[in-house]
Amino acid sequence: MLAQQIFNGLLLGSTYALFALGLNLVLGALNLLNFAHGEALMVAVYAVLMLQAAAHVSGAVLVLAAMAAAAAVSMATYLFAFRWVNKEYWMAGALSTIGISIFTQTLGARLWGTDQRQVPDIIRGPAVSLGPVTATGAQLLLVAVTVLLMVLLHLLLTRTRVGRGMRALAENRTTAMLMGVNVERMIQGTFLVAGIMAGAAGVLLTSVYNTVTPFVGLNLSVKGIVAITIGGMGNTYGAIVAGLLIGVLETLTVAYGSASYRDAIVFALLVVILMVRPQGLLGVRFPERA
Amino acid sequence: MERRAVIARRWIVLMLGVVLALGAAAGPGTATPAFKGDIPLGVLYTKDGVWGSYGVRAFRAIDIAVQDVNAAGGINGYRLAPKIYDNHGELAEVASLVRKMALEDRVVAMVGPNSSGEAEVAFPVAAATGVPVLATSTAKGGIMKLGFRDGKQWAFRNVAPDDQNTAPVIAQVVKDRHITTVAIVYDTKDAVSKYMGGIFWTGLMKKLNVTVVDVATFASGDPSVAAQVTKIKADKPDAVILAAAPGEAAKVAIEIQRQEMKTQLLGSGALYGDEFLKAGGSAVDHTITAAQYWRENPNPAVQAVLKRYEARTGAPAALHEAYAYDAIMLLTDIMKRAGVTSDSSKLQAYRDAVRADLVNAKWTGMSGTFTLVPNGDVIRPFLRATIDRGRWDIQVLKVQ
Repeated sequence: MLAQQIFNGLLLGSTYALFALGLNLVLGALNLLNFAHGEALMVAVYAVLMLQAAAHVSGAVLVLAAMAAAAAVSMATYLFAFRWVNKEYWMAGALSTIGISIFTQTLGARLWGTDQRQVPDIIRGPAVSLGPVTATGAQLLLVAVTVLLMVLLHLLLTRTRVGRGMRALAENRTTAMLMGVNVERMIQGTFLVAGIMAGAAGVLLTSVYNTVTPFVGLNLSVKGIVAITIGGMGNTYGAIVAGLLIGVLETLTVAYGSASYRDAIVFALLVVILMVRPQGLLGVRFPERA
Repeated sequence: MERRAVIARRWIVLMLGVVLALGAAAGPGTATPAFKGDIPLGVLYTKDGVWGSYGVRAFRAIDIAVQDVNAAGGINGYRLAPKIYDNHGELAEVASLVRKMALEDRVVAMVGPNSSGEAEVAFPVAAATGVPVLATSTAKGGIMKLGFRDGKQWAFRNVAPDDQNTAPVIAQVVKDRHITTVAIVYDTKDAVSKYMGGIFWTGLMKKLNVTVVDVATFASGDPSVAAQVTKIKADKPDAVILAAAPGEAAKVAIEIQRQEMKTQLLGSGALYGDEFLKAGGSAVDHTITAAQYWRENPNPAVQAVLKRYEARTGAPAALHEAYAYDAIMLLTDIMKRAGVTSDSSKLQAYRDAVRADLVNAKWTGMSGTFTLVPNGDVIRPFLRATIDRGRWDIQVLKVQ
């Protein structure tokens, strides 16, 4: 049972990691915590549901539709929480994303109702036994896609002009501008990529757990923020490691302890990390300025 | 100056024209009876949270019921004027809204709230302010005493408590299916589920000599219940009891199906309804629950109300619509008999009269026949509901 529980934990952790990647991208590039990232994911899942109800389309089309819907929400967040917000107030952007999150959640509840909705499998197939672990096709795909997206994101950030621009922006906005980086375009690109990743995370998450409500984003946002804090803010690999760690920790707590302590254990870990290693597991500690 | 006066006159003529045109478009069919005044009735539900779907349905039924009452002449020639509030799933808002309805809106009675957790807040406030309240979807056992004050019962409900309704049905299922071991999975975040999972089900299983091999908990909103299901799968129970809101319970059922666990799913009346079917799909097939609402009730009086209502909505009436509709109709009937008017100087006398009449009130409406009892609870039929290929199949165990 332990092996199966660890697999369950890695699956749950993969969803946290996938979600945290997009959150981290915006944080790393813009120093902006996007609390509406979960709502991009939620809209993506409902877009899939609506499309499935309206037409018989392939899984690939559904995934693309989800990514497009989440990207649209992410770009709207860019406009309302970044582009049109006075940047003199450093908290204004993050606070605006909270507003967008609440608005989108309420709109979702009114449009689609608050009922838990079943999301039909995009990938079907029998369960596969891998030694002591039983997994479905969708579950294995989730793990594979998490790894793939991690690699793609790594390549984007390290091997492409866009990625270099994003990193330059994260280092210093003014210097990046002086070096010829089109800052506004780069910010738009960051939100777009983050949205696409939220869409992918949404499809995979609901393919594994098969249910959705308009409130799914809030819980994930909290877990995502905890993951990027534990992993090291802005650090891609840190978010993945922390996401997986949180997933396994939560699952083992439920399996061998009590579900009541599920969140308490994770937040206790967060407190310990902040006390012992405030820069996060894989974060870099910058020397204090004189 | 003269030019301005001409323009002003033209505007007035234009506005009159618009008003007359709108009046003509409205036509004689929309004329409403002339009322002598308004009788305020408080309504409190929520469209948010895990039980939000109940509120959506209740609000719709309340709206139609009030239209029906007023189209039929209101209450003794007075219009039934609902004061409708949504507490947005926030417990903190419940107390202030109940107080507002009692003291500012000066309602004669109240209908709602949505969940047992909210009722635990609303009932004592309603009792303290002397307003009778009729709840339609609060099924936690033992909460009616919170609406008792100074020797009087102020809180009532027309929904049978889950424990009272479930025990006889499940006792029969345990006997029929030779169930000897069960696992219980319940939601710790929801008041009624916590009571059912933590107290009621364990007590009932003990009484029925059934061994509880595992008790697993989760909190509504958790993305995964895989760990809980893996754990109970290892114990191989004959049945798994789900104590949660329909959507959350369906999530557990889906995980059970995914992990290819073969077991009988059991639940209380809280699962009975379309939400569980829609959220669970094939994973909830063969689930057996208790039920108290029977849309196929052969009583002609019930079918007449149902057909009229469903013709308006174009959809089958769900339990929470039927219960909310009947609450308005029952209160209207009581207020008519009590001679309630819009005279606010007699408000407390009217409230007392309505409260007194709710005790032992018997009603046949959309939800069937029910009788309220002095402790605020209700007597309804015992039904056994089984999901058979995506549809609820009802077996009547005891009719009122």
